[in-house]
Amino acid sequence: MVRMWFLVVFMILSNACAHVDESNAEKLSAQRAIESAASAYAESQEAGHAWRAARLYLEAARGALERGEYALAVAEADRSLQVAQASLTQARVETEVWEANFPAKR
Amino acid sequence: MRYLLMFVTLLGMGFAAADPEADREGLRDFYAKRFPSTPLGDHKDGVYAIDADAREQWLEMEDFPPYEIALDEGREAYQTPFASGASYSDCFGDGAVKHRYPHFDEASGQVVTLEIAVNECRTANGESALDYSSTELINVVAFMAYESRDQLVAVAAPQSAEARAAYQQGKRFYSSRRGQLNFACSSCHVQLAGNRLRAEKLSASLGHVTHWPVYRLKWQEVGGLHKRFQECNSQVGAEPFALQSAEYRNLEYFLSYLSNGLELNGPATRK
Repeated sequence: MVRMWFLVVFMILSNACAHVDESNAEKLSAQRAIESAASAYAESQEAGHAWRAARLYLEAARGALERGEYALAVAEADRSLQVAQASLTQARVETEVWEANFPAKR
Repeated sequence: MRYLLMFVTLLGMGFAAADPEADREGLRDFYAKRFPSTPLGDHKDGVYAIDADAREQWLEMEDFPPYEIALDEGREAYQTPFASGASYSDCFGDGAVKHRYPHFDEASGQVVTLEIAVNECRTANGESALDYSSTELINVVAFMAYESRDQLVAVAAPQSAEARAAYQQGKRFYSSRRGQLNFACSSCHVQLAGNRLRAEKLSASLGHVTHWPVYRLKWQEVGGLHKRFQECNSQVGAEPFALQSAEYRNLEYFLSYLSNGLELNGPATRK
């Protein structure tokens, strides 16, 4: 009877630990996604081509992380990253083509 | 080594390509062809030079202009002595100086707008600098704009390498697409000038600086040119820069040079 109780307690504890590990992994994953997105956004600011949407998605990701909604945090951070990468592409392209947008003297 | 680095930096900024007078002539030619029935000088009225219906409404608004309170308060602030006994008139005389702003200050190596100059006048006389979005600063500038009416924009051509670089950065800002909508200033005000964006006709950039500060119905208050820059950037999904940031001061410098020779007619009312 004692052995059986010991087994039950062991199973409950190991299950709880597995859940904590899983939750920590999700949290870490969300933190990393946010770091990547924040870094890309900072780079776009440095280039003078930051987009508002990248900041808004990043803020949404941080909010989701605080609330413990890690899957949502990852999704929002990924969106922010994609938008920031698009803005960096714009910054690179404009470096080469901006002069064509101004009428030259004929 | 320092000079070599400076040379490379200036080259990178497009110093070699900067030709302000060619830019001004190029833009004037472009608008002369785009709006053949509008004399170039009329662009001082912004979109009301090319939209007859909107012009009528605007002229009616000018009978009782909503910027009058700002003007009165600006006049009072301008004439009130600082604690030191000096006043704005010790820095700017009668205030009719707007046509010479912005200019490139060789000593500080940056573009000085009228708002910056007003704050420099204050700090030089022992007063604290005003926030660039403050009502008092906007009102003082509105009064100075009023006193400067009918003067012709006379922004000095950039002479030094640093001044040309600032001008060129302004031109680059104006011509670079930004924001999620991928619009440059020139997309609306050159390529699409005269076309409609929803219900609004897009104005020419010639004359964009002549009438500030402006009472904008949308804002329900008088605001400065940089506030409008911020609004434009936000509208295309870009992060706006700070009021009086180097980006916006260089842009104002570039736009003002293009409007050289046009009459000042600020403050004004806009939708």
